[in-house]
Amino acid sequence: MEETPKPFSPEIPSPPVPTEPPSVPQVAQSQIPGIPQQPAKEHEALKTFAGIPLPPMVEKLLPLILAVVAIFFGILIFAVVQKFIEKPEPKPVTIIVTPTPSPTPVHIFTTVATTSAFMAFESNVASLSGKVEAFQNEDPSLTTPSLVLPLGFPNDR
Amino acid sequence: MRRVQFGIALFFVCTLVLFVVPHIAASSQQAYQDYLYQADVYRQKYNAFQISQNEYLKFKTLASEADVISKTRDMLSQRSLLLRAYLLLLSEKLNETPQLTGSESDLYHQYIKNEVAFLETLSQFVNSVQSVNDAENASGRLEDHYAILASSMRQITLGISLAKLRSLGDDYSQSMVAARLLIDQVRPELTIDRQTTADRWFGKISDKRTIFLQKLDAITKAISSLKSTSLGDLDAKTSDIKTQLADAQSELTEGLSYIKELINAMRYKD
Repeated sequence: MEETPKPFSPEIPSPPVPTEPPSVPQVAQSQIPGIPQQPAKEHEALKTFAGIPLPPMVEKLLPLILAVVAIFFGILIFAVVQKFIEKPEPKPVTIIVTPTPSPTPVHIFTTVATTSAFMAFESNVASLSGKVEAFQNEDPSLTTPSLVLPLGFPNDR
Repeated sequence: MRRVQFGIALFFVCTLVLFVVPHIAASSQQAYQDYLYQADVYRQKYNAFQISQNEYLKFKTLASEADVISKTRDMLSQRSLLLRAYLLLLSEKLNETPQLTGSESDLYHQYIKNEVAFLETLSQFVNSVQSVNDAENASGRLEDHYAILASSMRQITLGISLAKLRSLGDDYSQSMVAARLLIDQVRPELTIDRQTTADRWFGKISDKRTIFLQKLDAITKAISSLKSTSLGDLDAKTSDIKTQLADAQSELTEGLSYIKELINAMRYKD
Protein backbone atom coordinates (compact mmCIF):
# COMPACT_ATOMS: atom_id res chain seq x y z
CA MET A 1 0.00 0.00 0.00
CA GLU A 2 1.23 3.31 -0.90
CA GLU A 3 0.95 6.29 1.35
CA THR A 4 -0.55 9.33 -0.11
CA PRO A 5 1.83 12.28 -0.01
CA LYS A 6 0.96 14.91 2.48
CA PRO A 7 0.51 18.41 1.23
CA PHE A 8 3.56 20.70 1.82
CA SER A 9 1.79 22.99 4.19
CA PRO A 10 1.91 23.41 7.94
CA GLU A 11 -0.71 21.63 9.77
CA ILE A 12 -3.23 23.92 11.29
CA PRO A 13 -4.18 22.60 14.69
CA SER A 14 -7.88 22.12 15.23
CA PRO A 15 -9.46 24.44 17.82
CA PRO A 16 -9.71 22.96 21.28
CA VAL A 17 -12.95 21.41 22.20
CA PRO A 18 -14.44 22.90 25.38
CA THR A 19 -14.87 20.31 28.07
CA GLU A 20 -17.18 22.42 30.13
CA PRO A 21 -19.76 24.86 29.02
CA PRO A 22 -18.75 28.45 29.57
CA SER A 23 -21.10 29.12 32.33
CA VAL A 24 -18.98 31.87 33.83
CA PRO A 25 -17.75 34.40 31.42
CA GLN A 26 -13.95 34.44 31.49
CA VAL A 27 -12.17 37.74 31.65
CA ALA A 28 -9.39 38.14 29.08
CA GLN A 29 -5.90 38.42 30.56
CA SER A 30 -5.22 41.54 28.64
CA GLN A 31 -8.00 43.21 30.32
CA ILE A 32 -6.57 42.71 33.87
CA PRO A 33 -5.50 46.08 35.14
CA GLY A 34 -2.15 46.63 36.98
CA ILE A 35 -0.30 43.75 35.36
CA PRO A 36 2.12 44.64 32.55
CA GLN A 37 1.25 42.81 29.44
CA GLN A 38 3.71 41.50 26.89
CA PRO A 39 3.08 43.09 23.58
CA ALA A 40 1.75 40.52 21.28
CA LYS A 41 3.36 42.00 18.16
CA GLU A 42 6.98 41.90 19.55
CA HIS A 43 6.53 38.36 20.69
CA GLU A 44 5.36 37.66 17.21
CA ALA A 45 8.45 39.39 15.69
CA LEU A 46 10.82 37.15 17.67
CA LYS A 47 9.23 34.11 16.35
CA THR A 48 9.41 35.22 12.73
CA PHE A 49 12.19 36.74 10.70
CA ALA A 50 11.09 38.73 7.64
CA GLY A 51 7.82 37.06 7.82
CA ILE A 52 9.32 33.61 7.91
CA PRO A 53 8.66 31.75 11.11
CA LEU A 54 11.85 30.66 12.89
CA PRO A 55 12.46 27.16 14.06
CA PRO A 56 12.40 26.74 17.86
CA MET A 57 16.19 26.09 18.01
CA VAL A 58 16.97 29.35 16.23
CA GLU A 59 14.41 31.07 18.31
CA LYS A 60 16.25 30.03 21.45
CA LEU A 61 19.63 31.17 20.10
CA LEU A 62 18.32 34.39 18.63
CA PRO A 63 19.46 36.68 21.55
CA LEU A 64 22.92 35.17 21.40
CA ILE A 65 23.10 35.64 17.63
CA LEU A 66 21.93 39.21 17.99
CA ALA A 67 24.58 39.84 20.68
CA VAL A 68 27.34 38.40 18.48
CA VAL A 69 26.15 40.52 15.57
CA ALA A 70 26.09 43.60 17.79
CA ILE A 71 29.63 42.92 19.02
CA PHE A 72 30.80 42.37 15.45
CA PHE A 73 29.32 45.66 14.32
CA GLY A 74 30.76 47.39 17.37
CA ILE A 75 34.25 46.13 16.54
CA LEU A 76 33.77 47.10 12.91
CA ILE A 77 32.71 50.65 13.82
CA PHE A 78 35.59 50.93 16.32
CA ALA A 79 38.10 49.81 13.67
CA VAL A 80 36.74 52.30 11.15
CA VAL A 81 36.81 55.19 13.65
CA GLN A 82 40.29 54.21 14.81
CA LYS A 83 41.51 54.24 11.25
CA PHE A 84 40.29 57.78 10.78
CA ILE A 85 41.74 58.97 14.12
CA GLU A 86 45.16 57.44 13.64
CA LYS A 87 47.65 59.66 11.94
CA PRO A 88 49.17 58.21 8.88
CA GLU A 89 52.74 57.07 9.49
CA PRO A 90 55.32 59.36 7.94
CA LYS A 91 56.95 58.03 4.95
CA PRO A 92 60.55 56.96 5.49
CA VAL A 93 62.87 59.82 4.61
CA THR A 94 65.58 58.82 2.29
CA ILE A 95 68.79 60.67 3.16
CA ILE A 96 70.94 61.45 0.29
CA VAL A 97 74.53 61.35 1.49
CA THR A 98 76.58 63.99 -0.13
CA PRO A 99 80.33 64.04 0.41
CA THR A 100 81.36 66.97 2.65
CA PRO A 101 84.88 68.20 3.28
CA SER A 102 86.36 66.79 6.56
CA PRO A 103 87.46 69.34 9.22
CA THR A 104 90.58 67.30 9.86
CA PRO A 105 92.09 66.67 6.52
CA VAL A 106 94.32 63.67 6.09
CA HIS A 107 97.95 64.57 6.59
CA ILE A 108 100.85 62.67 5.28
CA PHE A 109 103.71 61.97 7.67
CA THR A 110 107.19 63.11 6.81
CA THR A 111 109.75 60.36 6.51
CA VAL A 112 111.54 61.60 9.63
CA ALA A 113 108.38 61.55 11.75
CA THR A 114 108.22 57.77 11.73
CA THR A 115 111.81 57.23 12.81
CA SER A 116 112.69 56.14 16.32
CA ALA A 117 115.02 59.14 16.69
CA PHE A 118 112.13 61.51 16.14
CA MET A 119 109.99 59.73 18.72
CA ALA A 120 112.87 59.66 21.20
CA PHE A 121 113.41 63.39 20.69
CA GLU A 122 109.73 64.09 21.26
CA SER A 123 109.81 62.00 24.42
CA ASN A 124 112.94 63.79 25.67
CA VAL A 125 111.36 67.19 25.14
CA ALA A 126 108.24 66.11 27.03
CA SER A 127 110.39 64.77 29.86
CA LEU A 128 112.46 67.95 30.03
CA SER A 129 109.31 70.03 29.98
CA GLY A 130 108.05 68.10 33.00
CA LYS A 131 111.33 68.66 34.85
CA VAL A 132 111.28 72.39 34.15
CA GLU A 133 107.68 72.62 35.34
CA ALA A 134 108.57 70.75 38.52
CA PHE A 135 111.58 72.94 39.26
CA GLN A 136 111.35 74.79 42.56
CA ASN A 137 113.48 77.86 43.04
CA GLU A 138 113.90 76.94 46.69
CA ASP A 139 114.31 73.51 48.24
CA PRO A 140 111.62 73.34 50.95
CA SER A 141 113.87 71.23 53.17
CA LEU A 142 116.48 73.99 53.17
CA THR A 143 114.41 76.64 54.88
CA THR A 144 116.73 78.59 57.13
CA PRO A 145 116.06 78.31 60.87
CA SER A 146 114.07 81.13 62.37
CA LEU A 147 115.83 82.43 65.44
CA VAL A 148 115.08 85.21 67.92
CA LEU A 149 118.55 86.55 68.45
CA PRO A 150 118.29 89.29 71.12
CA LEU A 151 117.86 87.73 74.53
CA GLY A 152 115.49 90.44 75.71
CA PHE A 153 117.07 91.45 79.00
CA PRO A 154 116.48 95.11 79.96
CA ASN A 155 120.13 96.05 79.61
CA ASP A 156 120.31 94.24 76.28
CA ARG A 157 122.36 95.90 73.62
CA MET B 1 139.27 32.22 33.45
CA ARG B 2 138.81 35.74 32.19
CA ARG B 3 135.08 35.30 32.34
CA VAL B 4 135.30 34.31 36.00
CA GLN B 5 137.46 37.35 36.78
CA PHE B 6 135.04 39.58 34.91
CA GLY B 7 132.13 38.07 36.82
CA ILE B 8 133.81 38.65 40.18
CA ALA B 9 134.64 42.24 39.22
CA LEU B 10 131.06 42.83 38.12
CA PHE B 11 129.78 41.40 41.39
CA PHE B 12 131.94 43.78 43.42
CA VAL B 13 130.89 46.77 41.33
CA CYS B 14 127.21 45.89 41.70
CA THR B 15 127.62 45.38 45.45
CA LEU B 16 129.35 48.73 45.74
CA VAL B 17 126.61 50.46 43.78
CA LEU B 18 123.84 48.77 45.74
CA PHE B 19 125.27 49.66 49.13
CA VAL B 20 126.98 52.99 48.56
CA VAL B 21 124.43 54.80 46.37
CA PRO B 22 121.48 54.45 48.78
CA HIS B 23 123.77 55.54 51.60
CA ILE B 24 124.70 58.72 49.72
CA ALA B 25 121.08 59.42 48.88
CA ALA B 26 120.08 58.90 52.48
CA SER B 27 122.74 61.24 53.88
CA SER B 28 120.81 64.44 53.35
CA GLN B 29 117.64 62.76 54.61
CA GLN B 30 119.42 61.79 57.81
CA ALA B 31 120.84 65.29 58.14
CA TYR B 32 117.39 66.77 57.56
CA GLN B 33 115.86 64.58 60.27
CA ASP B 34 118.62 65.62 62.65
CA TYR B 35 118.02 69.27 61.79
CA LEU B 36 114.29 68.90 62.51
CA TYR B 37 115.07 67.23 65.83
CA GLN B 38 117.51 69.95 66.85
CA ALA B 39 114.96 72.61 65.88
CA ASP B 40 112.39 70.92 68.08
CA VAL B 41 114.75 70.78 71.05
CA TYR B 42 115.68 74.42 70.46
CA ARG B 43 112.03 75.47 70.64
CA GLN B 44 111.62 73.64 73.95
CA LYS B 45 114.74 75.19 75.42
CA TYR B 46 113.81 78.64 74.16
CA ASN B 47 110.39 78.35 75.84
CA ALA B 48 112.04 77.25 79.08
CA PHE B 49 114.43 80.21 78.79
CA GLN B 50 111.54 82.64 78.31
CA ILE B 51 109.70 81.36 81.37
CA SER B 52 112.83 81.58 83.47
CA GLN B 53 113.61 85.04 82.15
CA ASN B 54 110.12 86.28 83.03
CA GLU B 55 110.52 85.00 86.57
CA TYR B 56 113.91 86.60 86.88
CA LEU B 57 112.67 89.95 85.57
CA LYS B 58 109.71 89.76 87.93
CA PHE B 59 111.34 88.66 91.17
CA LYS B 60 115.04 89.45 90.63
CA THR B 61 115.99 86.81 93.17
CA LEU B 62 119.29 84.98 93.27
CA ALA B 63 117.56 81.68 92.60
CA SER B 64 115.78 83.04 89.58
CA GLU B 65 119.04 84.60 88.36
CA ALA B 66 120.87 81.27 88.69
CA ASP B 67 118.03 79.59 86.87
CA VAL B 68 117.93 82.09 84.04
CA ILE B 69 121.70 81.84 83.56
CA SER B 70 121.43 78.07 83.32
CA LYS B 71 118.46 78.22 80.95
CA THR B 72 120.12 80.86 78.78
CA ARG B 73 123.27 78.79 78.52
CA ASP B 74 121.24 75.74 77.50
CA MET B 75 119.29 77.75 74.95
CA LEU B 76 122.40 79.35 73.43
CA SER B 77 124.15 76.02 73.28
CA GLN B 78 121.15 74.47 71.54
CA ARG B 79 120.95 77.41 69.11
CA SER B 80 124.52 76.72 68.14
CA LEU B 81 123.74 73.04 67.69
CA LEU B 82 120.75 73.89 65.52
CA LEU B 83 122.85 76.07 63.25
CA ARG B 84 125.49 73.39 62.99
CA ALA B 85 122.83 70.82 62.08
CA TYR B 86 121.59 73.15 59.36
CA LEU B 87 125.12 73.64 58.01
CA LEU B 88 125.60 69.87 57.97
CA LEU B 89 122.37 69.54 56.00
CA LEU B 90 123.64 72.11 53.51
CA SER B 91 126.90 70.23 53.20
CA GLU B 92 125.05 66.99 52.40
CA LYS B 93 122.87 68.76 49.88
CA LEU B 94 125.95 70.14 48.19
CA ASN B 95 127.35 66.62 47.93
CA GLU B 96 124.10 65.44 46.34
CA THR B 97 124.00 68.19 43.74
CA PRO B 98 126.20 67.10 40.84
CA GLN B 99 125.02 70.06 38.78
CA LEU B 100 127.28 72.34 40.81
CA THR B 101 130.63 73.16 39.27
CA GLY B 102 133.74 72.16 41.18
CA SER B 103 134.59 75.75 42.06
CA GLU B 104 131.07 76.47 43.31
CA SER B 105 131.05 73.35 45.43
CA ASP B 106 134.47 74.19 46.89
CA LEU B 107 133.42 77.76 47.63
CA TYR B 108 130.23 76.72 49.39
CA HIS B 109 132.00 74.01 51.37
CA GLN B 110 134.50 76.65 52.46
CA TYR B 111 131.65 78.88 53.65
CA ILE B 112 130.31 76.00 55.70
CA LYS B 113 133.71 75.25 57.15
CA ASN B 114 134.17 78.89 58.20
CA GLU B 115 130.76 79.05 59.83
CA VAL B 116 131.26 75.77 61.66
CA ALA B 117 134.56 77.13 62.99
CA PHE B 118 132.77 80.27 64.19
CA LEU B 119 130.09 78.22 65.94
CA GLU B 120 132.71 76.08 67.66
CA THR B 121 134.34 79.21 69.05
CA LEU B 122 130.95 80.52 70.08
CA SER B 123 130.20 77.29 71.90
CA GLN B 124 133.26 77.83 74.09
CA PHE B 125 131.95 81.26 75.02
CA VAL B 126 128.52 79.87 75.72
CA ASN B 127 129.87 77.13 77.95
CA SER B 128 131.75 79.71 80.03
CA VAL B 129 128.66 81.85 80.67
CA GLN B 130 128.41 82.56 84.42
CA SER B 131 126.23 85.64 84.48
CA VAL B 132 123.50 87.41 82.57
CA ASN B 133 126.12 89.75 81.12
CA ASP B 134 128.18 86.80 79.91
CA ALA B 135 125.08 85.39 78.27
CA GLU B 136 124.38 88.69 76.58
CA ASN B 137 127.95 88.90 75.33
CA ALA B 138 127.85 85.36 73.97
CA SER B 139 124.54 86.02 72.25
CA GLY B 140 125.85 89.34 70.96
CA ARG B 141 128.68 87.54 69.19
CA LEU B 142 126.19 85.55 67.19
CA GLU B 143 124.00 88.60 66.56
CA ASP B 144 126.97 90.50 65.16
CA HIS B 145 127.98 87.63 62.93
CA TYR B 146 124.53 86.44 61.98
CA ALA B 147 124.19 88.57 58.84
CA ILE B 148 127.34 86.97 57.41
CA LEU B 149 126.21 83.51 58.49
CA ALA B 150 122.75 84.02 56.97
CA SER B 151 124.30 85.40 53.77
CA SER B 152 126.44 82.29 53.44
CA MET B 153 123.46 80.01 54.04
CA ARG B 154 121.31 81.90 51.50
CA GLN B 155 124.10 81.86 48.95
CA ILE B 156 124.39 78.10 49.27
CA THR B 157 120.65 77.37 49.00
CA LEU B 158 120.26 79.73 46.04
CA GLY B 159 123.43 78.35 44.49
CA ILE B 160 121.98 74.84 44.60
CA SER B 161 118.79 76.05 42.90
CA LEU B 162 120.80 77.93 40.31
CA ALA B 163 122.89 74.84 39.53
CA LYS B 164 119.78 72.73 39.00
CA LEU B 165 118.23 75.34 36.72
CA ARG B 166 121.48 75.66 34.79
CA SER B 167 121.47 71.90 34.25
CA LEU B 168 117.95 72.14 32.83
CA GLY B 169 119.23 74.89 30.57
CA ASP B 170 121.98 72.56 29.33
CA ASP B 171 119.32 69.96 28.49
CA TYR B 172 117.42 72.66 26.65
CA SER B 173 120.53 73.45 24.59
CA GLN B 174 120.82 69.76 23.66
CA SER B 175 117.20 69.75 22.61
CA MET B 176 117.92 72.73 20.42
CA VAL B 177 120.69 70.83 18.64
CA ALA B 178 118.30 67.93 18.04
CA ALA B 179 115.66 70.36 16.77
CA ARG B 180 118.16 71.84 14.30
CA LEU B 181 118.97 68.34 13.02
CA LEU B 182 115.28 67.61 12.66
CA ILE B 183 114.68 70.70 10.56
CA ASP B 184 117.63 69.87 8.32
CA GLN B 185 116.37 66.32 7.80
CA VAL B 186 112.79 67.32 7.04
CA ARG B 187 113.70 70.33 4.88
CA PRO B 188 113.64 68.50 1.49
CA GLU B 189 110.06 67.40 2.12
CA LEU B 190 108.79 70.89 2.97
CA THR B 191 107.66 73.75 0.82
CA ILE B 192 109.76 76.90 0.75
CA ASP B 193 107.23 78.70 2.92
CA ARG B 194 107.31 76.02 5.55
CA GLN B 195 111.09 75.90 5.49
CA THR B 196 111.15 79.62 6.18
CA THR B 197 108.62 79.20 8.99
CA ALA B 198 110.66 76.41 10.57
CA ASP B 199 113.81 78.54 10.46
CA ARG B 200 111.98 81.48 11.99
CA TRP B 201 110.60 79.28 14.78
CA PHE B 202 114.04 77.89 15.47
CA GLY B 203 115.25 81.48 15.77
CA LYS B 204 112.65 82.10 18.46
CA ILE B 205 113.74 78.95 20.29
CA SER B 206 117.33 80.10 20.12
CA ASP B 207 116.37 83.55 21.40
CA LYS B 208 114.80 81.97 24.45
CA ARG B 209 118.05 80.23 25.24
CA THR B 210 119.99 83.48 24.88
CA ILE B 211 117.61 85.30 27.21
CA PHE B 212 117.75 82.40 29.66
CA LEU B 213 121.55 82.49 29.73
CA GLN B 214 121.55 86.26 30.26
CA LYS B 215 119.22 85.86 33.20
CA LEU B 216 121.34 83.06 34.55
CA ASP B 217 124.42 85.30 34.46
CA ALA B 218 122.55 88.02 36.31
CA ILE B 219 121.47 85.53 38.97
CA THR B 220 125.00 84.19 39.37
CA LYS B 221 126.28 87.71 39.99
CA ALA B 222 123.45 88.48 42.38
CA ILE B 223 124.15 85.35 44.41
CA SER B 224 127.87 85.92 44.61
CA SER B 225 127.30 89.48 45.82
CA LEU B 226 124.63 88.48 48.32
CA LYS B 227 126.02 90.05 51.44
CA SER B 228 124.28 92.39 53.76
CA THR B 229 124.54 93.78 57.26
CA SER B 230 120.83 93.59 57.95
CA LEU B 231 118.54 90.60 57.81
CA GLY B 232 115.71 92.66 56.30
CA ASP B 233 117.86 93.71 53.39
CA LEU B 234 119.08 90.15 53.01
CA ASP B 235 115.51 88.88 52.86
CA ALA B 236 114.63 91.44 50.19
CA LYS B 237 117.64 90.50 48.06
CA THR B 238 116.91 86.79 48.47
CA SER B 239 113.33 87.33 47.37
CA ASP B 240 114.53 89.27 44.34
CA ILE B 241 116.88 86.44 43.31
CA LYS B 242 114.06 83.92 43.66
CA THR B 243 111.95 86.03 41.32
CA GLN B 244 114.81 86.09 38.82
CA LEU B 245 115.06 82.30 39.05
CA ALA B 246 111.35 82.00 38.35
CA ASP B 247 111.70 84.31 35.34
CA ALA B 248 114.53 82.25 33.92
CA GLN B 249 112.48 79.11 34.48
CA SER B 250 109.57 80.61 32.53
CA GLU B 251 111.93 81.35 29.62
CA LEU B 252 112.80 77.66 29.48
CA THR B 253 109.13 76.69 29.71
CA GLU B 254 108.22 78.94 26.79
CA GLY B 255 111.18 77.76 24.74
CA LEU B 256 110.19 74.14 25.27
CA SER B 257 106.63 74.88 24.18
CA TYR B 258 108.10 76.35 20.99
CA ILE B 259 110.12 73.17 20.44
CA LYS B 260 106.96 71.10 20.86
CA GLU B 261 105.24 73.24 18.23
CA LEU B 262 108.17 72.76 15.92
CA ILE B 263 108.03 68.99 16.39
CA ASN B 264 104.34 68.96 15.50
CA ALA B 265 104.99 71.10 12.45
CA MET B 266 107.73 68.76 11.25
CA ARG B 267 105.54 65.72 11.68
CA TYR B 268 103.50 66.23 8.49
CA LYS B 269 104.40 67.05 4.93
CA ASP B 270 101.58 69.53 4.36
